Amino acid sequence: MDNILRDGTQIDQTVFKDLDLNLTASPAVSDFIIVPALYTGNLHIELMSKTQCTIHGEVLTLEDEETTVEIEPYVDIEYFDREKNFLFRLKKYINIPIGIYSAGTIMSEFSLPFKFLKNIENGNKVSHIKIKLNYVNDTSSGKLNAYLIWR
Amino acid sequence: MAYSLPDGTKIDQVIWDNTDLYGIGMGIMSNYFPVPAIHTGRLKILIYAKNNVIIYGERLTLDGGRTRELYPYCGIYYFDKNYNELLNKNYISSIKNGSYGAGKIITEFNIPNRLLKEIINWNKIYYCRLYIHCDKSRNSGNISAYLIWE
Repeated sequence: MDNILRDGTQIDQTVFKDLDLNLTASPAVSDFIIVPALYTGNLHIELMSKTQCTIHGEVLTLEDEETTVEIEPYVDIEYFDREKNFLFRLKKYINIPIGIYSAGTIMSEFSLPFKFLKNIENGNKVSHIKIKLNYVNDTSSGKLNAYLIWR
Repeated sequence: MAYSLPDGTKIDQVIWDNTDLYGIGMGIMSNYFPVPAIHTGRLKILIYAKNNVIIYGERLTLDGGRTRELYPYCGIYYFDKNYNELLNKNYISSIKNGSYGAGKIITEFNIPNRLLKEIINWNKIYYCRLYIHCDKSRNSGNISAYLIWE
């Protein structure tokens, strides 16, 4: 288990450990992550490639039947209360650029949003979250890790 | 001009003030805003609905005539002190299609800084510009965007 990032940042929790992008069906869903400190605004998620990673999203063919558009892989965040009752899903919060990442590269980083929860019923009762990573596993490969850190 | 948010958070800079989302084209770009503190990792952008806002992303017509509605998304462009572009990071944060009441947060996100270490001259970033990709012809309402510390 990793406890620290290369720049000395302490890891609070491991969200994904050696997640195989090819073998794991999309969406990859984390376990419940405990976030009582969510409202400090200092909680961040880092997605890092453990090995060389290739990540792709859904490919759409446009009406001319020649042009294709690839939708970026994305991250959803689900919020739960202390009893793990579902409160809210923040869909497509963060996009992950399509591409190849060498081992040890940061693929995405984001803070856990919380200010908008004021507009949600029971938005002040969030105690757990889940991270859902949406991508196309057939065209993706490699392993990634994701960590919750304080900043 | 606002100086603090309703919860008391101090506004560092106003990126957009009462900017109209409606128009022609597929996106809006802010002016340059200085971010010498970017490497603290504490700079955050909040986009608010100033009045009732409707925002939509690009609509694609797919093979077979079906349509697919993309989400609007935010991007950040990074520049050095001489306004040379160092990096653009599109697709940072998506915005859900639909309507937002006045004063609602449309999206909030930190300006990514750790992943900048992968690029040349990453330590010379001094300015940023914020971009929203959306279908302006179907939008309505005004937004404000702020840079805050958190």
